[in-house]
Amino acid sequence: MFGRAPQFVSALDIGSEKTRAVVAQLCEVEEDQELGDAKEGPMTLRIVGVGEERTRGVERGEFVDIAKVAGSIKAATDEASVMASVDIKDVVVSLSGRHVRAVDSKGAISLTGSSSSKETRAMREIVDSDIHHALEDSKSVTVRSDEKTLHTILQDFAVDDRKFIKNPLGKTGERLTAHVKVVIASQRAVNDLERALGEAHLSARFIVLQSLASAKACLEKEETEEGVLLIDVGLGTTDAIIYFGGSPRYMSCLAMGGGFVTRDVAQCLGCDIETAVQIKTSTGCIIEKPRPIEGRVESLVPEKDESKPDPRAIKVISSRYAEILLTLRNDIRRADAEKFIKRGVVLTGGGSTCLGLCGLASRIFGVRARAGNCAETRCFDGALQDPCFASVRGLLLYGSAPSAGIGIFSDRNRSLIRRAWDALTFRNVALT
Amino acid sequence: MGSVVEVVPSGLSLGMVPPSMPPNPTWPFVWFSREEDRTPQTKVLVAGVGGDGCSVVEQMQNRAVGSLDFIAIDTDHVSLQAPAIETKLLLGKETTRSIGSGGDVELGKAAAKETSQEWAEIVRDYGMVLFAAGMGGGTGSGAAAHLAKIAKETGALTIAVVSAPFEYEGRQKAESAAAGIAELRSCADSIIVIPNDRLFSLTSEITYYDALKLRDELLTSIMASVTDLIFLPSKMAIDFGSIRAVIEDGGMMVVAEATASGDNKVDELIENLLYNSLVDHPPLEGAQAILLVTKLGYKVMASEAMELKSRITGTVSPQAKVFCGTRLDEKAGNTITATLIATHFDELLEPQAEVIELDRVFTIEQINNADLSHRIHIPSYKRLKTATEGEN
Repeated sequence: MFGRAPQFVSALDIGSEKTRAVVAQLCEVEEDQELGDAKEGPMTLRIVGVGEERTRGVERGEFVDIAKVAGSIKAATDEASVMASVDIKDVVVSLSGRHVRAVDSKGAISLTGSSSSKETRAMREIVDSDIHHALEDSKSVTVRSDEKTLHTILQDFAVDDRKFIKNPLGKTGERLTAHVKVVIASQRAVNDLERALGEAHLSARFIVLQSLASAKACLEKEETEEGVLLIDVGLGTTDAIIYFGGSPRYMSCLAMGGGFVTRDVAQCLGCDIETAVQIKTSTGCIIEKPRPIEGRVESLVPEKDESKPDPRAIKVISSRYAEILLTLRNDIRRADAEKFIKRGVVLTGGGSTCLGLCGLASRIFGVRARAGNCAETRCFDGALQDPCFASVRGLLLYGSAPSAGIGIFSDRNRSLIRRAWDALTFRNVALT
Repeated sequence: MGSVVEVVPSGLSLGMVPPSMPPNPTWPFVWFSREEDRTPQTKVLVAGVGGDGCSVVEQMQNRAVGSLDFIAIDTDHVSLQAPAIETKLLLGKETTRSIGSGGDVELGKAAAKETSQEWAEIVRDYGMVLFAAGMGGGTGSGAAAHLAKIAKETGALTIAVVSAPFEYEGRQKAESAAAGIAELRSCADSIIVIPNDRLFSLTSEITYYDALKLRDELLTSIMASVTDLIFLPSKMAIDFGSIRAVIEDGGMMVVAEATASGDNKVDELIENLLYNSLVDHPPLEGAQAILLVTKLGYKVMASEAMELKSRITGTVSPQAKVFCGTRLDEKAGNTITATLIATHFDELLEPQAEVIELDRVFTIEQINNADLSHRIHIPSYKRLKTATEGEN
């Protein structure tokens, strides 16, 4: 069913700071015993080309100058294409921004209606087409004319009163309800993205919400089951997503990111942006006193010590990061989603490579926090481990095997619904 | 082995006195080796906050050496009558109407805030302020941290010596004590916590009265050990600067004092100094700064003094800063008295909680729809509740 697997996958991540393009080669590896009946074996991705270019024309996650964005895209993809000696035509591209919203929706079908004899009200077994219809019904969300549905993500099913059913196939009941999360983006932003790609002579194979891509790259399957919050800190935006029971429960995008920290440092310490970036990366936001590193003697006389980080810089940096995290926490609380964060917090993105941010996050959310060094190392031969590349790696994974996804269905390709569903039900593949 | 910093006195110091001439008691007690440390900045104030604190300070007044000043601070004017301390400060005349805080931490805090001005006026001249308080009540848990903060802001070195309540006193007390201790840790330079329950570990056959008395004595002796460092002259000088280096922003602090004589005195001292179980502290091995002052009798062998020093400095990490001072005492004979202060505990073991409180947390919508003139573009640092500018 996945016969025309392309040999190469290209992914493009347009961040506020950097535009990153990566080309990967799909290689089949020998099939697992468990997946013996699957048509396609597990894939591995070998990265063959990487291109990175400073993004121009993007502010706080939004395109302000399409021509400039197209230029950055072109430069990045050209670089990757030259390195890989592959022509890049279509890309899996990420989208984020404050225009993105996620709404809960449910679709239901009656299982009794089709029964011919009314007096029995016979409950019948749920078959494939019921699930399909329930999912179709769930898409009937009120989408404004200037908006576009980006993803419809299955959360779980309910059969009559029985909730949280992962796989209703074969169960009997009167009514089947599908709970989904619908990710809606502004049509204008999607158009802008497509136009920018068009100007760079590319087309979008899929458009994937950035946080979903990062999640795919960074989260372990168990984490998504137990409940985890992923925070992708970019330069201009911070995306947050909560997984619980294997599917996303909360999504948000905050138009504040690592760039604000840099500007704060520059403003409070009176230095230029480049120095501020240096201070930011070297100082970090450790509120705890830094443990003296081997070979570095921490002097107790501050004025003579150069290596000791400036406590004021720490405070400036940690204040802004705290603001970002607190804003997210408040919003998560308002959405009553804090209860889902049981396993911990995962921090990723270019802005997350700051010393001590995990400690800050774990204090604010009261759970353990880890850096989002990519989980899917198996697929990448250990390449591009940097959290900056988290979303682009996730995009590659989407591009390589959309059917083995986490229940993401692109609107463009209806048959994907079935594929994704097959993957979910028959192969117990959640996040690989 | 830690790197040993021997503080070499400059200017006037006891090092100029011939060894045959022990410090004369008629000499000024306050003796600082550095010019700047001889300014009135190094006056020391001992403040008792709340009922427990005041009774400790009263004891302290009876035994301490040096020119210390004492002050009793409480929210209850009746109990403030009791201690025989000359200077008294009644907190929150308006907030509590002088009848105490009734165990309400918030009320204690509010009372301290009301009397901030007067307190700032008092501490202005002091270089070091020691706080004694019992945690768990309203005044001790609530007011002490605020008072310490003000004292620290005026530039004084602040040390809090506090006791945590007995377990049987209930969960609510334990909680307000924990909150008070956490707050003190962020406000004061160094803090010493003595859990009352630990006193029973000495012996189960202790009366309640004795336990309390012992607790007060312990608090007193710890504070006296610290002030003695400043006020007793020493041969190998410990100046206020090195004390400051150890104590400032030290977090959890351990003070241990032990005396021993006889053949096994070094072993005995090590045992008593390092494994003093009455004070709540992380393993001493994690200390990043220690200060060791030994008082040696004239008959103590040099090798013994060296052994003690090297064994103690060998306990802590090689990166730790070690300050050593030595005093000589003719009358002590073959006795060594050692005082050990350890601070800056390895933060992996002891995370130091600092609270970041923004004056306002915006919603995602507010931030996402904010224009360039919105407040979110002002650095968060300047929008902290406790925004303090221009320091550090």
